[in-house]
Amino acid sequence: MVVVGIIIIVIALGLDVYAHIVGPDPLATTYQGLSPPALDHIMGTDQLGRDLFSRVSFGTTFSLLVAFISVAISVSVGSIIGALSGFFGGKIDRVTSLAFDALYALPPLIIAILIAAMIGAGIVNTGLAIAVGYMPQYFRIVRGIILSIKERPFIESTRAIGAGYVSLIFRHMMPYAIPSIIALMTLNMGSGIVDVAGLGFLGLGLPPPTPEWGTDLGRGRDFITAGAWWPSTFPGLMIVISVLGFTLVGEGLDEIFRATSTRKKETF
Amino acid sequence: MRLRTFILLRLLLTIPMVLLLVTVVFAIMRILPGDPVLAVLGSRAGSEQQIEAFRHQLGLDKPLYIQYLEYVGNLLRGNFGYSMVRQDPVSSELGDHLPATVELTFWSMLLAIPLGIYSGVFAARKAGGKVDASIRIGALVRWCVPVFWFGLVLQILVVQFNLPLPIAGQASPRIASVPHVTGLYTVDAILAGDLRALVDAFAHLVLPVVSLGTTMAASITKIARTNVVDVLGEEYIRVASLKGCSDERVFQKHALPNALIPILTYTGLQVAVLLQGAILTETVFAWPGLGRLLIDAVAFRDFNLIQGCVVLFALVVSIANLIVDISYAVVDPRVRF
Repeated sequence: MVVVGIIIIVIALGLDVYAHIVGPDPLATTYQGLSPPALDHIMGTDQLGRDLFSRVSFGTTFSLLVAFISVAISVSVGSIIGALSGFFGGKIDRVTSLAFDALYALPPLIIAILIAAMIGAGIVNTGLAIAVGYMPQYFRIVRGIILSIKERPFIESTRAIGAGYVSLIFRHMMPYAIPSIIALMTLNMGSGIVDVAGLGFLGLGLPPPTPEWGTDLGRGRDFITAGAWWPSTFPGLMIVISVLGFTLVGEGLDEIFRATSTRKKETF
Repeated sequence: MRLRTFILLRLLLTIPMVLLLVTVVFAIMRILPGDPVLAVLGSRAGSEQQIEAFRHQLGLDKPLYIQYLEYVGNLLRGNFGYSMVRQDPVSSELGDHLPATVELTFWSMLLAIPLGIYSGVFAARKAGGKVDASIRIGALVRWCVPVFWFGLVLQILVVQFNLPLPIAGQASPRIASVPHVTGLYTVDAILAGDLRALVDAFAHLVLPVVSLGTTMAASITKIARTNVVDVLGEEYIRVASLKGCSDERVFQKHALPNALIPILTYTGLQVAVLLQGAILTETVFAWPGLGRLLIDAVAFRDFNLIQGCVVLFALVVSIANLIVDISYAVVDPRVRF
């Protein structure tokens, strides 16, 4: 599963690199508008006469970049607060847990719409808007793991030989959470890509003329009734392919980590 | 704990949860940069005085904590504030758009739950075989297809192959003459006894419900399969077979009920995902529901309306969680302790 997923991701990125080197400019409006797929434009052109293959391939950069920024933000905020909250416990823990529980009840896309509406779109802004909705997942996982190992003897001994809080939490406890965090991050890369496209589709994504899958297929839908199916088909196909890649890797990693942890349990 | 006590306690717990959600939404709206007044006025923004007057009219010149207390106080009385752009109470806008979303999500769930559970259970009983593999791959791939693109592809197919299905809207203009008692078009058509309107309402539902329903069905399939496979591996299932139960009976009496509990919980939690999908589906199919309302409100920077929509979504999710917890307690007495 992991291997197939990685191959899919590599192909998507390869297309992107290929387009950067040899493909036509994704912003050049030099061609006949809305011409169907043919040999010179294998995915056809959009309403402004831009080469769709080039836009779809360039779009990989932006979608993956924004998704990656969002995952990076949510994993750092979520897991650091989760770790501190689980470690110190008490009132702080209760308050943060409640706040993250409330956030967890709202679907990530709705939070993203709310924030994107407030702070506007852009590569970092959109990444941030998507990130907030995913923070509770990391918070919960890390907090749970920290809570479960907090009372173990090796933590007490590490503390006894003089380890400070920072080193205790981040050097001695966090490593236990890393496998679950990595699996979740990979899965959330997939959801992040869908959310980026979703925001773009709703008109809240990266501003034009950036080649972005969601925005492109959203604009293309005005021409469906006129029979032009390609502008909204190919960007979506790329979304599916890249999401599938990340989901396969994520699920595969999850299965592997879970299998190793149950095996460990059985040997006790 | 008695069941009644549990339900009562759980009901009480919902109140702080909803309050917290409202607070989070309020915080996001007020802490982030972006001035609602300037956003609404846009190029119409006149002198400083005019802007200040508008700010005063909306109560945005008061200290933040007073704004918060007033907002929560008004919410408790069912007052969601006033739409800045539509010049209409937010609650009446929400009321107008709620039925369409209810109709869309209801029929989607009606498609998704049986389809998801049935295919998941079916795959689990053939675990390891070809049927299992194809159901798993199918569900995985369908899960990776964004609901809005799936909707677009359905529209494209209908257009390209000239299928006799409407690709947008909730009813055809020439048939939309049925009195709207409930706002649910299918129910209204039945109440009016108008067969043509009923067929029309269902025809408009086909594409949106298939888009949204199959998305949800894909994740239910996955969870159903995993749970049934897990339960079938339990020792008590082996015991039941060894003492001579037929396979069918073991499955019906011992495996399925135990597997269904987590599946139902998961399905309840999917309501949040369903709402998120509804926003996108409504945009694809020009469906006049809450999702459309929210996106329009965002386009016009209508802050009270945005806040109202999100609070309503939060409320629906909390109620769904409440129902899940209570039904969980009913079927599994261990939860009550």
